[in-house]
Amino acid sequence: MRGRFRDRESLGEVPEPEILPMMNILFMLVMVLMGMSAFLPIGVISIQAPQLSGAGAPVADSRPELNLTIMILKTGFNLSVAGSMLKCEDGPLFPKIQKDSQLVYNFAALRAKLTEIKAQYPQDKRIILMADPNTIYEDITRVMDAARPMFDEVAFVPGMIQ
Amino acid sequence: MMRRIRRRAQDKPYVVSLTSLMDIVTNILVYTIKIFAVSPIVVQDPSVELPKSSSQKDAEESVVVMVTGMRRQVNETPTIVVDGREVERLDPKTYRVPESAKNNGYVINKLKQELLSIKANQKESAGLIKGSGFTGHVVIVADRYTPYRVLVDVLVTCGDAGFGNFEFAVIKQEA
Repeated sequence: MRGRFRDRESLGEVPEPEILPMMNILFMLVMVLMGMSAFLPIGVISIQAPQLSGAGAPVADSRPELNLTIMILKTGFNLSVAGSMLKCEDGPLFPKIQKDSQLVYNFAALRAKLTEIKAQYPQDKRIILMADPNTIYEDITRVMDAARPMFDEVAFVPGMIQ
Repeated sequence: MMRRIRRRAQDKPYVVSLTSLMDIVTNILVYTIKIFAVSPIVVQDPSVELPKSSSQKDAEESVVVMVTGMRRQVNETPTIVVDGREVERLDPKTYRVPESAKNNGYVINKLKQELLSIKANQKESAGLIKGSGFTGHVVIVADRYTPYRVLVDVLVTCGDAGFGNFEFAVIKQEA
């Protein structure tokens, strides 16, 4: 044994460290971590607690309360601004539109209207969401996206629109 | 000359250099660990498909309430899961929480019990571990087809159990 090392030293060879077992461990760790992670960048949207009593009591302030409420109906969107409804007589304010042979919500029109409202009420950041019970979570997320960053405080109302 | 080189190559055993491969593996390992460090919420359940959103806010460590298996996997019963534990099954036909499982029309009894238990544990740990304690923070991880009615039931229940800081989990997408 000693003789072998002496032979190597005499030949001028530098002994290499055994990295193969460490490689095995690292490779297994990579495999385990890759298997556990979905590799999807997960983010969050902050929301406020649902109010069982509705939109809330009026605050003593000279400025008119916006109380912007977005109603997600089966057929489109309705808006309520400062206590008055903006809906059309014959249907929702922003009805669903035809896209790829499917009826979809008009998020662009909603965003344009919210931008317009924000110009009139620059201090307000809050929206209240009401929806049809069957409205899917994806559409709710897209409504919140349309309102961001003008209105980034979202409150849910448990009351359903039938 | 050529004969001498060939003989030298035959004498010396061929050694594979693993150093470069080791570098690659270490880099992949660091990258995967970094992803874990950035996102404390990992959604592995195939029955949960998160919606995409322009929100760029990062998720934080908190209690996770998951609503699984809506619409796409018809044979699978949709469930409400808290930190990996199933607490309630939804009606697979209507995709709603059964009325018998609720109180006051909104509060899901079993979910509330589980959340109260977590709250008690968090308060208990506050005295033992520095920096821990009850934060009232909850992240709702729901499938993109989850109906509004179920979401509201979950939110009202969380609020009733004292968890007032809600967040919805989404997949980050550039605006």
